[in-house]
Amino acid sequence: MDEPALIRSAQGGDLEAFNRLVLAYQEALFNTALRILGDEDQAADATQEAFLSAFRSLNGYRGGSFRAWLLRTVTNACYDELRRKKRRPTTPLEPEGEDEEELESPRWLADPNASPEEQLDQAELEHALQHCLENLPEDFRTVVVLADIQGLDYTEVAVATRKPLGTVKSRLARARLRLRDCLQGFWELLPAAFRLEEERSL
Amino acid sequence: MTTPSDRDLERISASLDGQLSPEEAARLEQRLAADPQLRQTRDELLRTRSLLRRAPVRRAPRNFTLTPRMAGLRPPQPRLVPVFSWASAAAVLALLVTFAAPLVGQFSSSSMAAAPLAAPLAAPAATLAPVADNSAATGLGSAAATQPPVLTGTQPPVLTGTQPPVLAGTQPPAETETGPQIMLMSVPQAATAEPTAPSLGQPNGPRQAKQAPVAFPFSPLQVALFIAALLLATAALVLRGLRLRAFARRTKD
Repeated sequence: MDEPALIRSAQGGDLEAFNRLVLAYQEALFNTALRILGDEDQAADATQEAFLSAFRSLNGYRGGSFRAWLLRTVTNACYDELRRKKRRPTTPLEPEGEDEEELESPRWLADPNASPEEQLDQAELEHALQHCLENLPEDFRTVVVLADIQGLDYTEVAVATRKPLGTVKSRLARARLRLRDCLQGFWELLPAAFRLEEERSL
Repeated sequence: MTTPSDRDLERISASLDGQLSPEEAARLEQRLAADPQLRQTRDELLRTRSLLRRAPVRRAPRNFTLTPRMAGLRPPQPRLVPVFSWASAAAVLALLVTFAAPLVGQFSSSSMAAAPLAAPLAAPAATLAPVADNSAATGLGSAAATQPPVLTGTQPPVLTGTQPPVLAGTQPPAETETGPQIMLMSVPQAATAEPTAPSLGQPNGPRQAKQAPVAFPFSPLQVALFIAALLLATAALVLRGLRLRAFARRTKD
């Protein structure tokens, strides 16, 4: 069944149709939440909350990019989660130092099919990105995650964030500039393979 | 590190995503060719963007599909359920009112205001001591075989005369008032008086006969309300249970 048909069925209360949409989009929503929140458990909670809220407000979807509409629900869930976190700040079990010991943690080793070297490279890149993303203001972070990590176009980002196109453009530009400055520090630490590839692409 | 103006920055950023009009893009290209700093910023932003695009994609730790329960899909509740529930609650409330109203009425009308309210609690304790005194007295009295006439003659004056003031306070309303709670109050007294009755002999006979009909202390209205509340609540629960069971069977398939 194609996506519009599934959405129509789900709007009629067909939970099975909605669950097929969930399976198709859960990775995008989870990864968006993970980059915004920086915590796997919280990201999973926000993703679940987003799908619940999406099901309840499905009749509010009036066409356009369904992905953007869904990503808006997860963005909202992330903001709720961040607000909760601000109210009850949690103390990390192992305080992160400047040298970020948790770099070695298996939590960063994403792709089990990659070789140990590749896994470590990915882990370092992910760590650097996450660190820099978390230093951004929430609104900037959301825009850059949606545009550059999820690959949404400007219109979709505007839908997902409920912001005018001009705001999206300006926030994205500033977020990229801040990330450039932050990643600059990590640049030399990143694996040579990344750098060579990036240099070639320029 | 030098930073271009906000406008330039936005233009460069938008150009990376192909979001500039052909004219704007052409103008920017000219400026980039002439300005190495601007070019450097463009290159760095491009590199930043391409790093972001390489962010590892994590697999979802679990499926986020919704169960009917999570989705809040509940069986449409039979319409009678809330009706029965509220009716049951109303019956309970009315029942409470039937208990409370006479108390309130008595409280406001009685000159010995504190006594009737304290009576339900005080009565058993209050009656025990006087009755014990009484039986002791009558025990002595019957042993001496001279006292009975005193008790048989005029009960209330004898009681008020010989009993401690506590009983004197509580007894008269019990004798004179006819509300249901007064009957309740007089029951313990009658019950505690019973064991002593044989020793008291004749005199207590008429009094017990007079109080016998009040052994069941609830009015028909109260009984009806109680039964109605019970039946309505049961009906609501049964209806709801049946619907839930049918729904669970249906969603399991």
